Amino acid sequence: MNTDRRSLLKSIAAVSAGVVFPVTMTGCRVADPKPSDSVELFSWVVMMPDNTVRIRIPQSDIGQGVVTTLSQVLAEELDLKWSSIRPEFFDPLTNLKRNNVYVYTCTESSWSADRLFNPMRMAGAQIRQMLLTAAARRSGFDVADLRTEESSIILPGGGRQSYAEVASAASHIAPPHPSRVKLKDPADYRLIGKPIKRLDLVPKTTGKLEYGIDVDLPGMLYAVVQQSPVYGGKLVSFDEQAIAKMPGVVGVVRIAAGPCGLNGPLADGGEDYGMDDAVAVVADSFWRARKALLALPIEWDDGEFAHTSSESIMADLVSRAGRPQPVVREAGDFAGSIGRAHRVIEADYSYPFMDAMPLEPINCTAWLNSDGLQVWASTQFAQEAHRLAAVTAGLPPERVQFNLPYVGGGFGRRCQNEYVSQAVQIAKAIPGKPIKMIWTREEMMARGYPPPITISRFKAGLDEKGNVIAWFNRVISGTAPDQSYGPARLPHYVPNLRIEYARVKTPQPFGWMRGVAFTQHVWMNQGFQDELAVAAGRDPVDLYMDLLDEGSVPTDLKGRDVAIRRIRHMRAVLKRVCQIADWETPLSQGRGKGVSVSDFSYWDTYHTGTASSVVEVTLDGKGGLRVDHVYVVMNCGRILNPEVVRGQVEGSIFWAITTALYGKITLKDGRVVQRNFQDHNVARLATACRNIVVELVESDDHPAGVGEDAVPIVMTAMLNAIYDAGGPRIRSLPLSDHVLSFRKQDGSDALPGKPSGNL
Amino acid sequence: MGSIMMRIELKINGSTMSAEVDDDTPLLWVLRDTLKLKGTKYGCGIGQCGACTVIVDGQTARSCSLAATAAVGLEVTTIEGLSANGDQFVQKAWQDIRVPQCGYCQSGMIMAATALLGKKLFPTDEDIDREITNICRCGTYDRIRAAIHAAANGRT
Repeated sequence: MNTDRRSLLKSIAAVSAGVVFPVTMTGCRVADPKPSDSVELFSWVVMMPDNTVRIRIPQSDIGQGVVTTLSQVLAEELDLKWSSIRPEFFDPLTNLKRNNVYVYTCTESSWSADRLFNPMRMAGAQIRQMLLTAAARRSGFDVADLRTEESSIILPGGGRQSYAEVASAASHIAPPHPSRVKLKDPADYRLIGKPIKRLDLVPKTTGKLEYGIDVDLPGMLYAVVQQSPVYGGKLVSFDEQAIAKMPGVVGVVRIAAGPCGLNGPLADGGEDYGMDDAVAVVADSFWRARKALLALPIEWDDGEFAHTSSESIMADLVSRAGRPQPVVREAGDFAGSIGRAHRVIEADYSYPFMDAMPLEPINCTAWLNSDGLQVWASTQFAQEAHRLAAVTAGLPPERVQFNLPYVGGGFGRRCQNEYVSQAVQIAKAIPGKPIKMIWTREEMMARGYPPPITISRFKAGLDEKGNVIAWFNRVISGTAPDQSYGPARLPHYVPNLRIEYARVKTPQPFGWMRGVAFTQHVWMNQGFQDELAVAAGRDPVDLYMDLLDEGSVPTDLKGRDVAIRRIRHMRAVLKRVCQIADWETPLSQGRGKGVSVSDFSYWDTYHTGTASSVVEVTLDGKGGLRVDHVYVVMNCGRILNPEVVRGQVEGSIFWAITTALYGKITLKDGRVVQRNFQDHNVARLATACRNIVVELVESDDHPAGVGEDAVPIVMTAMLNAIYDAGGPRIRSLPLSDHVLSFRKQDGSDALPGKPSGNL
Repeated sequence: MGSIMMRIELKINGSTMSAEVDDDTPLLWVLRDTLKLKGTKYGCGIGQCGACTVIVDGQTARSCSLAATAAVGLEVTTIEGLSANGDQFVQKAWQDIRVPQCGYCQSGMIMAATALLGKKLFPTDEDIDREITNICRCGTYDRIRAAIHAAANGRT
């Protein structure tokens, strides 16, 4: 449901206009308080006496560039001078007190542009009107005779008043009702859509940018934690005396299992998966705390998952795949039509647990004293972190200040705030001192929030001409929210179709890892479709285009217009990527290409980009694989900043390559086997593709998310390309578990219907 | 256990700095927490990711895996030592090519690139692949490669 405009109206009504609220510090500029004659306007901006402007960014910057792109949006309508902008992250307490004035503060689902484009344009335009009204009163001119430019009001005759000069008067003027505010004609945009350099570009090359892990406070102590090594395990005991005399050790804190906050707003599928018992050692340095924790004897009760492994889970999923599961989408008569099919193809695809592994290790600093609680944490969901901190501390929310720093990578991992609860529990046990808790990389890998382990069983029927007349897909996955959209929200309408979907409880909680269920199911769906194309002797593009048939959309379908739009967008980007990738031209022996197309349409009104990819690979016949070319064409609606969008697509390409090559977390006896990057490689320069072509489609549509769309299609195209190059059909991940030698000429090792193992 | 506390003098970014450390403390934590040079980042602690890369006597070093005591007497350069305002030639190339996304790995990347460009005037793609093994999870590799070439070509 798109409620941007309406919820903004509601929140506007709730904010009493004209009040200058007390200055709050946010993590962006902790050491840089505002002078007392700064003026806050309408919660969104603070005008400074020197005519610089603080813009409140109601999202976390996890690398996706919202500090810049959202500033572009607000500054466009407010006519700000770009060099005068000083962004700062929003304050969750202010947002709470003002009834969600910042509209959408959870940084997930690539939603920043989609959900904040309208509210921030409107806020900028309203503040501009307030400033104009104040300037008119002061100068005696009519508002209609004034205009704005570069953070100034221009008077008839050319006189100027800076925004700073009229800000105080403007702050006492009620914001105009949005219905009476005219937004700019996009033709007049001078910021939106322009490749402006990131506002934080230079400090990101000098080491001066502050992430959560860089918080530094007087007298600060350090904490290192060890959680139950088995998911769901309980702490039995630890022997504090064994480390009490180690240098610098301040104490050992028992962290209780329990709720750890939502990983997204409830309306968007947020859930609280709870966290397990943990032990923290507090010392006067990280290194000493870490050494002492390694020396601390801890006894755990491993609990119900003590003997669970990826292998046993997969065996259970496979066995369930042999039985009927709940139907989530059905059309025509699958059972009857499959019997009439000229050819029947079957295959099992599977997907392992994975880990997002952002590079900044999980950390949180908490300081409980007589004034209340201060918390600093790099998180994707600061609003929930603030609530969780208050609940954990047992304090009313207004006595908790949450400071949001920059985030050294999120990728969904930091939607979950369990570490905030841990740090606050430590601060409660050792009050009066700021304590920075840092997880080791080993702890991060042991306690990830994976996408669900999944099996996807396909059966399809082709007619004599190679058309898909029957489609069956039974999916069983581990712990996750309802992700039946993955198998069920296909853009095509095969006449006889049945989709079944079920979930079982698995040890780890679920995390929104970049690409989420689309990465899993776009690959599995289009990997299988590629198999159908091969079986039918057809070009996969030809098969996709046939499936993306407007005429196949049932006339009585609810949301038929959306279904048709999806098909048109997909056909357009697929056609275009085939042109720029020269799809028709065959490659030499040992080389191959694959293709994929998808959007990110979780549900009918979910604004999403549409993207298509062609990937070319080379197999050396000795198991070696090289990704030669990646082409991506993306339509993401209006582009706020093309360079930022390109960066997101490039990042998604390497995310896809890492996922395909190495993506796997293995459980054995309830424990994660991989300990650090030596057990779980990621793409590096040597494995990164050197030839990338990204084409962005120009569009006036509402801006759509771009942070994830290229992940599933690039991975799918890459895995299909391996088969095209003469390699094996890939039905499980990662590639590092497969032998990428050439198939035998008789095809005996590549028959469809033989599920690949390797889990 | 068994470590000895000692006072050491380190030559960092051209200055002599003094720190009291346990003798097994990695240089990374002395830089970050004792000397407050926080541009050098912790990523993995085992020398895999390279977020902690510094230059020691002209060679890259993973500061998470080098005891601070071992750096005594050597010239240590951190990201803070490259320039006061971000205008060292590699930093400028990083800005021109717009490399950083989240930025967390970039101190280490820039240090690794600076060391490579100190050894080779015009590194090839193969040199880059071999010498720069740092991890970037945002996936800025394509721009890192371009920025290294740009830095080499733009060097005066």
